[in-house]
Amino acid sequence: MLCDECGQNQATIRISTIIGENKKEENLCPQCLKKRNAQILGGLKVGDLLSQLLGAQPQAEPKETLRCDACGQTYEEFQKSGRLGCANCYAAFGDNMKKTLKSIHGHAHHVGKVPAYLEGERLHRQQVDDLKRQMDQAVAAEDFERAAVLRDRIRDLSTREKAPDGKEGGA
Amino acid sequence: MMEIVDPMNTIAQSSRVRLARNYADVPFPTRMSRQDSEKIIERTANALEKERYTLKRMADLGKNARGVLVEEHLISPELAAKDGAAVLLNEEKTVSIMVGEEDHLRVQAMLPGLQLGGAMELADRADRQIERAERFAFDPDWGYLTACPTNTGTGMRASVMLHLAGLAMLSQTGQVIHAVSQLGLTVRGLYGEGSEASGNLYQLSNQITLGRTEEEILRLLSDTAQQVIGRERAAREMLLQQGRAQLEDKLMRSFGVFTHARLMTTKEFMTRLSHARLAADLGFVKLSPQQLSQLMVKVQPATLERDAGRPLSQMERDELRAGIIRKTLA
Repeated sequence: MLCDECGQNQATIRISTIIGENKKEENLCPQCLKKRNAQILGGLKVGDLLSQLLGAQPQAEPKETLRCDACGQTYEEFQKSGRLGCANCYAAFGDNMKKTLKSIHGHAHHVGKVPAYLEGERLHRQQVDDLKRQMDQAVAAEDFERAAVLRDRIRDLSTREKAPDGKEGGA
Repeated sequence: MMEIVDPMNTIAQSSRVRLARNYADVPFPTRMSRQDSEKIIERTANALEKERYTLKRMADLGKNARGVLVEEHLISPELAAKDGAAVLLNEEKTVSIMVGEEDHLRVQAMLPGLQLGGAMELADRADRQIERAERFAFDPDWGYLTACPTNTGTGMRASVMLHLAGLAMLSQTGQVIHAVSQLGLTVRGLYGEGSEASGNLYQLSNQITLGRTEEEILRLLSDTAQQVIGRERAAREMLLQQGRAQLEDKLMRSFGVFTHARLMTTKEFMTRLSHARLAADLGFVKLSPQQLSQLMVKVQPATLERDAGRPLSQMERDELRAGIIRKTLA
């Protein structure tokens, strides 16, 4: 079999590239493989890989130019460089960003560390959600006495949240 | 975190954790103005004012001084190339905070041996300290927002440097790399070309940063590192059983050249250093792991030039390097 790259030498190595569900196979001769490796190793940047990955994906909104209001970066520029311009780009590129994150990580939801100033907020929200769930269960079980107690606790928690006690939490 | 803390582990050379963070109200580095880069340096230094950190601005450092920091693994080559960037170092040099690299902040902690939990604690403490004074770009759904989406979420990249000389001798590193990559982890050869690692040093790190907690990622990495270390031990055992005399002969001949050569290139140095490490681990020679790790930093090009106080030709470096090896290991 001849080399796919130069078409002259005998191919001795088969390379399989798998990106997502797309599989590509190539047969290369040792010389072309060496060249390819040098290219990959010499110029490999995450941006290049990412832009391949991003370019290979159908965009959610292909016709409109997506642009971040805050820093002016377009989605196209991001596809080329693999780098975002500012924190607001994430929201500006919306669904495209979500797909990108999902294709890289297999998930699109953060479960790790949270800044301390948000920790209180998160715990609070969890607590309220828990109580609401318990209240719904109580109502479903027709235990209205318990449901009323839970309702009052939820109300207490909610008013405490709105009370202007100065700090936003954290240290 | 459930981790066998093993700072003296000689197969695991070092453990590193780095957290990528960005200030919420400043554009990411590719879109920063000069004022922005200065602003983030000042804000970071102020946030850490009460801690004992030393601020070094790249603009104030010459090419050589930057090169030394790179060789000490305290900054990345990317940071060294940026005049508007800076680094904050703690006294022990276990924590380095790069300011103005790909993200505003790269909080990095490094410890010897297998100590991912310890490294995380150090990085986390510095992160929390800055967070007390500052707001980072954070989204409840997507976590910490970073310039490159490969870091979004925890912003955490953790790694363990492994010395896999036994597996390399049995040509088994390829298998290990393949197995590990199935777990969402990456193995790279250090300074190496392709899969062949220079000095048989391999860096095992996490790939995924979103959808898993820091602890889950660290546990997977630590467990996998321990398994790879187990494989390396088994490989060494096998080499000893197959031919102790041949192995000892090979390593000690190499050690002879290592400690008597008059010229030593970096490439040859890395190969012979790996042999010396293995010989020390197997008890053929008496050398401490610290001795060898320090040697590795001392003979790097920028560090050699700093100690010589002038630029050196390659031949001069090779000669100096051989001299330092003799002095250190004699």
